Amino acid sequence: MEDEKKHLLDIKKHLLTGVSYMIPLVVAGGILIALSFLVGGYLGFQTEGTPADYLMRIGGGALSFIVPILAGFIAYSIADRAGIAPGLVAGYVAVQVNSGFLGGIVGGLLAGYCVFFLKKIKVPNLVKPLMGILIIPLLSTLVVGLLLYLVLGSPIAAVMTALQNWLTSMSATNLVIFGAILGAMQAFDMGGPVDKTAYTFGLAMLAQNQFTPMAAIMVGGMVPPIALSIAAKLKPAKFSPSERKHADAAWIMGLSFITEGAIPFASADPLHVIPSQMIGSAIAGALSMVFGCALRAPHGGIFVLPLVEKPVLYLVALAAGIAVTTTLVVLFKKDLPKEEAEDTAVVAD
Amino acid sequence: MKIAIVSACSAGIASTYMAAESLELAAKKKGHTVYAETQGTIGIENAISLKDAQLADIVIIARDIKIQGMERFKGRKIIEVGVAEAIRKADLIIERAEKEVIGK
Repeated sequence: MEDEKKHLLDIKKHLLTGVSYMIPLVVAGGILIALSFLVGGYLGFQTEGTPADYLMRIGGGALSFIVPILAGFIAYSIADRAGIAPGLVAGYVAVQVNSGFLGGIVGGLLAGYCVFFLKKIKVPNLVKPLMGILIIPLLSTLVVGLLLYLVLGSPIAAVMTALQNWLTSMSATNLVIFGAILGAMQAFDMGGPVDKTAYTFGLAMLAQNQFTPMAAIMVGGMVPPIALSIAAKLKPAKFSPSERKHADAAWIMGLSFITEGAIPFASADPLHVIPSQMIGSAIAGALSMVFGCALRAPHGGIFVLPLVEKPVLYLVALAAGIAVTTTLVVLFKKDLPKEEAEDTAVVAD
Repeated sequence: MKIAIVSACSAGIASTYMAAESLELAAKKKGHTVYAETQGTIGIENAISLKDAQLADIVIIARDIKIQGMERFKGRKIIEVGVAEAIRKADLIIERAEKEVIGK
């Protein structure tokens, strides 16, 4: 019983499960649409039959599934496969009433809980087969759909509009702060819960056609592994042999936006490394926001640079972040004692 | 002892594999037999069969998201941890697993 309650209240797990199934769609859709703009310009897709047109249609198709899949797999996380159908419909309705990803989250949770409790109802054996194939899918889909259309849809849509207005009308100071926070969150735990919170927010913003937060997040996530690799090359005496070996691979991880590449450095010396990373990533994120760099793809690192709006300025933001983090690490990290620098130190990788 | 490990993070490209690897290394260091399954964005790799699942003395689940196929481990002792915890504190988790198994 206790376990069941824990499961139901583990909303973070349910949200992240939904997000994990959604990510490939955002990647494919975002990149295809960006490619459409790249080959055809901003209006190229309007000419039927052109490459830009097809890229836009296929990419748009992928994106149209984002919220339904998010909602469907949030419900799946709560109620197993019986949750998927009502969850998908909840996501579809959430889009219909303009409540976006937030409506999708609410709809997915509702659908999941609804199915979960319907499954608990004790029925005579005669009716049991009917529960699974008829009553649960029908009832849960109807109830959640109606709730979204009639009750929850418009208030959530209002929240989404407010959020969007706030994002689009932000002052320069707020842009700096916002970008800095998003960037620093990436560097704080490198793939951990704080990083994923910022990343999930960025994904949600993509679903709302806001492309600047994801750019700030990605650049913030790229800085730490690259900067630490450079620092390890510049000042090998400050790094253990296994860290130095890891530096050969970490920079590629950084270029690919796999922030986890910095974990071995950070866990070996968190007090010096993590703050240095956070400051560099904050600067990179802030610059990206201020420059107005925008990114439709939620992943890919340097390999999606051609798809970034204002790519040159984006590189400037990245380079600035790397320069700052590298400098801070080199300045503050102490030389290792001689024997440690030579022995194979234990590094948590 | 036999340890079954399953890991899954939300993006499923890096942390999932790092968690499985660090737990596997920590367990092997102590001389345990390890089955380590990853549920990343490309799907399940090194899948643990029902038979191996039932032979495990303990199951370590490192997850930020829902794990597929939990019914395999029915009746087994299970430890659940977060992915970040598994990457950073693998040795402690293996110690905890040893205590769970030997302690009872």
